Amino acid sequence: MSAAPLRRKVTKGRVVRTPEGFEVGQSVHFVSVSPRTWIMTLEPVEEAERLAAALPVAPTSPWSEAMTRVQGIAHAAGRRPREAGPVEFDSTTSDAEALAFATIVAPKRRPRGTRGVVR
Amino acid sequence: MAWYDDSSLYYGAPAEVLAQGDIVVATTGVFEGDRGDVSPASPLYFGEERLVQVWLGSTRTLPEAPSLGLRARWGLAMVLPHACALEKEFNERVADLVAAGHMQPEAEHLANNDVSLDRFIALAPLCTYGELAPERHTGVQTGARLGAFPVPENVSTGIPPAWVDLRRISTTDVTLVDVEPMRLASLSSLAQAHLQAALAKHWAYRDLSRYDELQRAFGQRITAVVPISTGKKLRVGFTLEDGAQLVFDASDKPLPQPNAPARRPRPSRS
Repeated sequence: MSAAPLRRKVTKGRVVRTPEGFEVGQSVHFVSVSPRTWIMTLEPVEEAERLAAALPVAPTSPWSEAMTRVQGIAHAAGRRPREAGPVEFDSTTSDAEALAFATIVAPKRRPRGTRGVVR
Repeated sequence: MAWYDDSSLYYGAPAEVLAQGDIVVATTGVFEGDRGDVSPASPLYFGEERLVQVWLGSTRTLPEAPSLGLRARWGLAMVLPHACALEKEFNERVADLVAAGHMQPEAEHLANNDVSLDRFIALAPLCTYGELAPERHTGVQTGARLGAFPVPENVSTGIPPAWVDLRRISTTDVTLVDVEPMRLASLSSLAQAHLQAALAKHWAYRDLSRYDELQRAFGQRITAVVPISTGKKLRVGFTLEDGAQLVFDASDKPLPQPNAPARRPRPSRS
């Protein structure tokens, strides 16, 4: 199954800090350029959408197949119903048990004053 | 083919409830220093990160908290706690309700309606190999590298070859991920066991392979290891496959130096 092309996104925002050419409180539009890059513009939404359409196609994401599988599904929040199981009781750890864990299952390296060995 | 590169060994049928190793769509994040802006919009792509300003300090002195940014990531993440940890408070509540006279189904219904139970879940983000230095790829892909856990491609869900960054674990409200359709895939029992080993190795910095080294040294499988409490002195008992019992006492004395093979002096070239 081929990956669906990633669509451009234009969304509204409001300036809270002032990059050059902008003032606090101004309404702006953000145009996505790539997954990590946006253009902030004072242009109206129609012009912002025209700008978005004129931009080069965003690079294909390694996640595009996974995104295609879930595209269009509504967000949801909640919790799957659970059935009761045995209660996991809290328990103490004796010195001997702790030392046995730390000794038999050997440390990767001893603590040092410096950051030490690269693994 | 091994568990880390064979999707039929790695992936398994989903449990009825959220389980350790499940791959979900979720937000993860890392707090950073005095950086970031207000996020303009929700991310549109998996793997997308935004550095957003959380707090803006004014005095730069204690007790005020410093300015703080959050590098929030949207995409796939792996569930790290064991199912028992995800249901501990729920099971306790049901037991309390049953003890108070409720019937079991009613107790489960009441406990299921309490969203405060087992509210927190630890997640670690899935990353692509493009986010990793090439010389690290093999170590991560084979599950050898500490702090990482491999994720092979899953054709049915579209998950690409990826890896879990165990250094970027974050806590999330479980109701954001424990609902359809946020779960995309689940692990097999074998892959879950490797995940548990990877978590222990990363967090405790303990090398579980020493257990295998001990078995090789004994010449047979160890069936039980029992710490024997004797006050301050450490004593450990091993039971081997043939039933033999070995007891080891800890000692403060340094180990003798191994005898290095004697080297003959090199003949002079002159």
